[in-house]
Amino acid sequence: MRTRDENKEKAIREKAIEMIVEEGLDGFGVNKLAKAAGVSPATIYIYYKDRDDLIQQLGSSVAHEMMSYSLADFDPEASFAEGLKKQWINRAHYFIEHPLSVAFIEQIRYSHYYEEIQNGMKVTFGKVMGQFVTNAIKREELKELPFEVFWAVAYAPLYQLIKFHTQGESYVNQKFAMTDEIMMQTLQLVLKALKP
Amino acid sequence: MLTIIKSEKRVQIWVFKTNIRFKKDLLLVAPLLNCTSAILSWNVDRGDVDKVLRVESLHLQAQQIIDLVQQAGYHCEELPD
Repeated sequence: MRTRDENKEKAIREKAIEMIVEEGLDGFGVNKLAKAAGVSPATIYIYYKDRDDLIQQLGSSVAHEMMSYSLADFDPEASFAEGLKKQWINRAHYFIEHPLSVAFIEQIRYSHYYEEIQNGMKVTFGKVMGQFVTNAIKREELKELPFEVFWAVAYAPLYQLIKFHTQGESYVNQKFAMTDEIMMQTLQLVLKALKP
Repeated sequence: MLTIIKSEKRVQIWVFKTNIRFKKDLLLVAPLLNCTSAILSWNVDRGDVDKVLRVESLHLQAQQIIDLVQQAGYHCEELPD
């Protein structure tokens, strides 16, 4: 009989994420992971049913971690300006502190695993964010817009700044690091654009 | 006061190397594993080189599972640690 060991489980999880980020999903398998993590394939099967289950579970746990980061100390009743600022700060922190997790989610975003992962988050995340946006529209702090338009204006500028930050450079400057000032300057423009 | 007695049943996990390669092989093994009440769930990772059979059970010995699979005509041995 096989017994569980939390440290081993963590080591397997971390190695798997690292491997998928570096090599993609195609060549990824239980045996390869076992070798890289220094455990036997049998050990991996204690925690996961098969390769699919492993990828699915990893994806769900990373996505949940990302979601709880985003929702930390976030009040959907807050004013739109305050709430969006909190979202920007939370998301920027997560992306900058967990580059590996972010790269991992990027890898599986276009795979069939993503749908179920997204479904698992939709309920909580959709509820809180939906409430936040509905409140803001009701209070006339936010224009009513199609979701995609809202999202593209509200969040895409932040993600582009994060991208420049991660690359350490932009098209014009050889060195770029996002500061609080730059982030807040951009946020102010976004808020202005979204005002009714 | 009413006390609810929880049965603390420990789920065992077993992992075997097999030659259950195709769906038709699965069809032969499935009835035997499904009929064993001590087996809670099982699956075969046919994508893996070892065609790993994974079994979650209550109060079962590895040999009993090996016997079941062999009864269906397949090879089955515990995957070493």
